[in-house]
Amino acid sequence: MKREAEDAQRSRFTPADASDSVMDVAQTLERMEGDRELLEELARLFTDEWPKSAAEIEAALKAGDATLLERFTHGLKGAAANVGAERLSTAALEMEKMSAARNLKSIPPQWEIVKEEAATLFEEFERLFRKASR
Amino acid sequence: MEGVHQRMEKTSQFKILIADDSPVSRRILEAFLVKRDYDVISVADGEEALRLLSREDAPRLAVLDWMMPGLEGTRVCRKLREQSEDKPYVYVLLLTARTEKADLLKGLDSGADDYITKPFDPPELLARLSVGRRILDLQDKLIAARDELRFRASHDTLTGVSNRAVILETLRREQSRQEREGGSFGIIMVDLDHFKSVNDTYGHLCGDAVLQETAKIMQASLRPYDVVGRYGGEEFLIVVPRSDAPSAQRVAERIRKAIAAKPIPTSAGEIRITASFGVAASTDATRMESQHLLQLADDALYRAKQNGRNRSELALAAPIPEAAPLASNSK
Repeated sequence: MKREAEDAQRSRFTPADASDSVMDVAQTLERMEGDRELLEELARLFTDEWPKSAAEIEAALKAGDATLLERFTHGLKGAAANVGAERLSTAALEMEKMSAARNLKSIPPQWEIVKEEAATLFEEFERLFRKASR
Repeated sequence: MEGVHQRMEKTSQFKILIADDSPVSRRILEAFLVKRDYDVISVADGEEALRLLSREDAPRLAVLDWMMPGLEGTRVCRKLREQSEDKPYVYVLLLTARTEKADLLKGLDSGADDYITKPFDPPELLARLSVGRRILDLQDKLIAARDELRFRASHDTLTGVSNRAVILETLRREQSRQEREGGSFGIIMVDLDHFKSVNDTYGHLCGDAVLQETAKIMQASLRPYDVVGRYGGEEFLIVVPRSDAPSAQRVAERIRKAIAAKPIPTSAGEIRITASFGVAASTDATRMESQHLLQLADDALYRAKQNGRNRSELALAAPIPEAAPLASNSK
């Protein structure tokens, strides 16, 4: 909330981000030293990587391999955090913990949540970078 | 000035290896390091990282992701540290999402120098890499100092050839090799002719220059595995492995001609100098201990002086000299 002023300043880029925690654009940009092109490139990389990550996780789920699930969700959590996708990262972290606890029953519903968060994130990317490139 | 300096430094960018299986994380690292003028090599797995870090021209700085499929960052580290200690040190920073103390201890225990947790803060990462470069720099200086000390401890200060202790050690090593493997080797005792009068006529500085130059000429005339050392004031000893007496004498003759042919430039003008050579060899048929061999070469050198200098003489086939009973008593 302290960052409201800062966020307002950046609102040209992203009018909605102050209230929306799908992605903390301001903070992420700050980490990127204000390099918007880099952030956009990372978002693209993340988006491109998603089908592969999702397929890996689906396969591990089908095989009931908690060790693999733990590793894949760990990777997803890190990648999401790197692009500033906080909600997705948190959801992936939950799933990583469940995998670590071998809590196989609760994993599939959590995976649905992760996928929803990813979908929301991609919409956000779309919105952000379409506007930014105008 | 500052700008020019920085531009010049670009040509010697600091090489850094990053290993991370996540394209996003790899790209962030790359972007920040390239901006700071690092020469970035990035790979997606531990095997490739280890392969590159094991090469001769390996980067000295590495950022390794802990969790990678295949070889994890910590295992890359461990394998790297198991390699030869003679290789240049690689400073390793481990990248990890693990924040538990036990994990971090495990990471450092694998041989990593430092770690940083993900998602990392770029300025912090860069600052930690600077620490790494500082340590590498210190290490380079220490190694250079150690090498110089080693050199000084084993070489003659004036001429740069091996010192007396080292040339005698070389002789002993050659002898034990002969004991193990057979074969022959020779030694050459060299003494500059009328060196005292060079010192008396031109002064000690010119005498020093003459010693330095003749040492250079000797070294240039030797094969890579021959060793020359300063034995005394104007006396040198050369150990010539894998040679019998005639071939050792050929080496002596080559050096003799080279010295006689080249006037030495000094502050007092050019000085012509010659040297005399005593050659002895230890062969399978006539093996002898080093003291005896030195004595024979010395006798031959004496004869070279007697016979007019600027010449080489071969040791006479070896009747045990008078000093021998003493030597065998003491053994």
